[in-house]
Amino acid sequence: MSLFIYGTAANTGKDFFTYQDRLDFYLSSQPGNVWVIGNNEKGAVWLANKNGIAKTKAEAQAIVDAEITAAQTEWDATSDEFKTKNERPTQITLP
Amino acid sequence: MSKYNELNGLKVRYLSADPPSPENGEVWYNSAVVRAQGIAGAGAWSSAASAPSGLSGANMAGNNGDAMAWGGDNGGGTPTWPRTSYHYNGSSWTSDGTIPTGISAGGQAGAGHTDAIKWGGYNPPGSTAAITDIFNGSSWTGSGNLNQPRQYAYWVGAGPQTAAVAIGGAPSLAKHEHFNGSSWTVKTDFPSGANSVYAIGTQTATLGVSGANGTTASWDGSSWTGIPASLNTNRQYGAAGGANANSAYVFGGSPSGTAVELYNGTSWATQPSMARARNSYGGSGISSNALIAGQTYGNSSCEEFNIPFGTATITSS
Repeated sequence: MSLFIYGTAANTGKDFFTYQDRLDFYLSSQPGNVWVIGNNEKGAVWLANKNGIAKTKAEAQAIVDAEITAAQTEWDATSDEFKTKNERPTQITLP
Repeated sequence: MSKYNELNGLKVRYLSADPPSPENGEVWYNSAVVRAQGIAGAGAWSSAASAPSGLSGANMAGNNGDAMAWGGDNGGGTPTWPRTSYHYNGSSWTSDGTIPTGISAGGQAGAGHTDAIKWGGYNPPGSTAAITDIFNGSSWTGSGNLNQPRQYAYWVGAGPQTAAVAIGGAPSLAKHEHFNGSSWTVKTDFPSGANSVYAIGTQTATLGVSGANGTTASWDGSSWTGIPASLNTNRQYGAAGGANANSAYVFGGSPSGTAVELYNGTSWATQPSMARARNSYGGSGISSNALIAGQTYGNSSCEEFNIPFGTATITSS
């Protein structure tokens, strides 16, 4: 069984994920509203309750890759000062 | 049998009731119920209300129930520096004042939104690096300039604005100054310069942490003392907070993103990570159960760290 499940869901702010959620399952926010979620019942219920859309790992990775590529293009066009305190976005490999 | 004060260097407080805002790990004797008690709980980050925008280099003062955020730039080849400041009340953000000059990555301090203070920061052509502004609960006003101009001078810790501390800043400065509400006084340089030197505590008990190399030192009001422990993962442009110099958090920053570390007076230890990587952002917190991590470039989401209050009765067995 995979350690993680993947999905997209828009972060609605306060209580989108709670203190108890963080204790109940692994949760990581990635570009493109992609979420990497610990593969247990509570994690799956959380994604469903957030009106999330389940993705395969490959689908989730493709969304992240597209976001990173766009962010890199944007970063390349920014000022030198911005580049000083913001590193160029690097590829993220989902776990 | 070992004694508590020998192990921890502190005596157990004798109280007639539980303290109103205990820190995690704090131990006291409650005479009303005739038992020794302490706080025991696991901390975790949860989502906070999203900020009005996602700027780079925004600042924040206060805690996750009462914070002020300001500054930052919107990136791009020709960035702009929005000037509206915002109050967070624990559940939503509302506009609250206008900073006199737009800046990004400035210095920050204050216990809440009504006593925020900002200094330094970046906004071409560089004329902002010494400016200090204070918030009185309704508006920002200019105050005494820094003696040693600096950019990217993040500082987070206990307020009030009448007793702020500025350490470090670009370009890799070790400069150290104290603010008394109207003017800055130069103090002894921090042992190791960095663009980001995190500081937690007060003017007489400060923990300084270099984001560039992890150097950690304590200030007792007159001199710095090096501490053997250093950050496990060096990172700049993150945030810091905590109750005091012996309960100090550094969270986020480049390159580790989501990582959180706690200094307990002896060593740094990894804490539960944030869900979202954050760099060049404003975060703060004046106690270990009230940290808040703010917006990053292109991402308005925020997170808050809580350790639920609860007490555990301590017995000798």
